[in-house]
Amino acid sequence: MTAVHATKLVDEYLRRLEMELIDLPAEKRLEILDEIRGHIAEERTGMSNESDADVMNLLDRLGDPTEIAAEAGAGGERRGRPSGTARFGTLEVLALVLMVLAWPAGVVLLWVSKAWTTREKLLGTLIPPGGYPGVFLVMSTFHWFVSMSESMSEAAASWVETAVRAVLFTVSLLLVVAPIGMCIYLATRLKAASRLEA
Amino acid sequence: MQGSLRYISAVPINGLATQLRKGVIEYCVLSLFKEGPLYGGEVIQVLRGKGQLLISEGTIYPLLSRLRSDGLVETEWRDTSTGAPRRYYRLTRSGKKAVAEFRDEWFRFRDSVDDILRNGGKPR
Repeated sequence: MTAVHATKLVDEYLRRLEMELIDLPAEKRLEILDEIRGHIAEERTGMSNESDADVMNLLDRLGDPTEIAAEAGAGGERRGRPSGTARFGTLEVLALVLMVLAWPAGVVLLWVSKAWTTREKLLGTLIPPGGYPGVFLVMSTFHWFVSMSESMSEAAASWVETAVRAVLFTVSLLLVVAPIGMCIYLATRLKAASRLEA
Repeated sequence: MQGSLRYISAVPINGLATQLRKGVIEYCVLSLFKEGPLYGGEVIQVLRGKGQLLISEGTIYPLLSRLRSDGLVETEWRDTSTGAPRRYYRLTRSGKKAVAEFRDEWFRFRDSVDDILRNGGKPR
């Protein structure tokens, strides 16, 4: 007896479960996935002469991923996104593009669209606050701050200045990437959700 | 006659076990920890030996996670000699209280249902 497809079956099962749990907070999702992955691994260690059928029976006993997700409340939280709305329409594409190019307009469209949950919309609005105009404002403050510190650099030790510059550089870099990153995040969430509804 | 038929169709008999199970499974799981901590796999094994309480065994993990969020159980990782560490669950103080309350409630409930099923409308 050999279990040729066992690992593939298990991977497929866990992948489906992960998809079903996608609406849960990350911590909860990982906890449940880890426990079930551990359960499967332990049961398989206990099988002498494991066959594909053994693994299939094991997964059958665990039950359908949708049932596990329902118990986890993932179905309930999916109500945050009215069913049948998780798809990319013109509105959604426009919202994402404008979030990067013309911040206030993009956010308005983000909230008008029904494709994202309230939590995702909040994240999209707040990270980074103000989009690129906000980033620009923060950066000009930084610039002012740096020129201030330059004017007193005679007194300050040079390593302090270097450290301040390094921190400011890192923060600026994060700020510049943030709006695009958020755009990608929202796109991936929506894509995953639409795949789930399909 | 019309009335009673309507009630039967409201709770289909094959769904009845599911409905009943839903209300009690959490407390049954909590009660299992009275004798000491168990890990998820053990909970499943014990329930397997107790008839039809658990159909999809995987649902035990979200259930345990919820009991923990509700503060009824707490968890602790323990090393095993053979493989990966296991997460053990044990009752908290409010978990113990919940078990005790359910016990009282359940026995009263069960007595009422038993009485009606055995004696119908006759007074006890």
